[in-house]
Amino acid sequence: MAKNPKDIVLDPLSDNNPITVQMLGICSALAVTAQMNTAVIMSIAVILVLVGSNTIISLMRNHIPGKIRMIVEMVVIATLVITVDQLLKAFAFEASKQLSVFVGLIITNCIVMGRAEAFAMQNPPKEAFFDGLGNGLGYSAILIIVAAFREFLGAGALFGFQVLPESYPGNGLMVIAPGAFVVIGLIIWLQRTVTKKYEEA
Amino acid sequence: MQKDEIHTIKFAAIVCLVCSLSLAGIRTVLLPIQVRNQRIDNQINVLKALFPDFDPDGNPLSLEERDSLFTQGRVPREWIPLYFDNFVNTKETEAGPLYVLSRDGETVAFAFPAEGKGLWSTVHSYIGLETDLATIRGVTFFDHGETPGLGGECSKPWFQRNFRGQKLWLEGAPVTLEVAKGRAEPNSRTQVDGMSGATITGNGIQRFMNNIFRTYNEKVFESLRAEQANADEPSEGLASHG
Repeated sequence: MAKNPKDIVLDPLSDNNPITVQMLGICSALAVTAQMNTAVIMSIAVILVLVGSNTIISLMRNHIPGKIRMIVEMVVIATLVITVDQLLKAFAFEASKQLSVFVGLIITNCIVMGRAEAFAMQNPPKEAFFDGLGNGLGYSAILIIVAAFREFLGAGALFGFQVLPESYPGNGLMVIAPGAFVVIGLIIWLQRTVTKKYEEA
Repeated sequence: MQKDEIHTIKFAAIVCLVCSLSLAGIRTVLLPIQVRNQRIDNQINVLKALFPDFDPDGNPLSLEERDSLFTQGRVPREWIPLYFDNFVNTKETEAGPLYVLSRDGETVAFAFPAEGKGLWSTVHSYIGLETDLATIRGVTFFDHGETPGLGGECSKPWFQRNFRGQKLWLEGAPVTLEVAKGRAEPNSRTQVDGMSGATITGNGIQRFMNNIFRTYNEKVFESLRAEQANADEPSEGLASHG
């Protein structure tokens, strides 16, 4: 576990990506990726929560009683998520309206809880901070790639700007959540072909 | 063992206290900003119903250009509360609030709130009417939890523009405005293009728009129409005498 910060940050971007390798956080990756705007705001929110929860839980790791370990993690995560939600409502009102319940649902995002349990509980704050950042970026990368595909093919637009001519009919599958499943599946296929890392059957 | 449990309880109490205090603090600090955002957002939605071309992100205008606000509805976001208070009169009626847009004492348009079930959520809306109380001037749908890209399209300009000029009242009686499945019949005055893959959202919008129009019609617009007719009468009388 004596990895340097660079590796801790870079590892979750590809080799250990929370979405495409660990298969965590798929639910929100389906829900908020119809448009680039929402995907970017959601990414920022998740990065903030992950970095915050990892650091705080790591700071407390030697004092948390084993019996209520997960409840304490949950309380910390929930507090951070509500804080981010409140900040969005005050300073990014339009975006918070678009994301609606999905910001609140970061509480149940398996990546946040997963990193708290798997990393922050065993590592010092500095490493935990970078682990949170890396996993947040890994999650964001997939979210933004999926959103780019979906918005481009689904609406012919990127960040709300029409890219393809108005006559482009739009691909209905890309607009709905199953479209994200297809895109994520293709990304996983591509990634495993390139990295030559396969699950043992 | 005993000592362990006391530590656990202490720890839980401290965590809860710290978390709830910080949340309460954050909420208290941010609430005024959030309330202001909410209010401006609501006013934007009323203005969108009153001005179909309303653009909340327009550039600041010079004083001379202010007059064109009425024709274009272009106004920067920070001016909205001022603008709203100056031109829009909110009347509490039996059916609910009625927003009256007037200029130099003359009524230009009306708007009223409407809301109802879509597929997953309550869809909120304002409906703007011309002074004839029959023709839709603009509509806006907002604050809903419909599927993005499907029912969520209801908050997109293309769908809302669809309603402009359509009728809720024709030949002295309310008519049912329809959200079509697919394209509306060309030249129809009571049908708008539907959203593909969002039949239930469309049906919901159709239902609540018509129902709430009828409520307002019965409780508010009938008497307004009578007032309008009274105001017209003297001049007609003069004309016939002459």
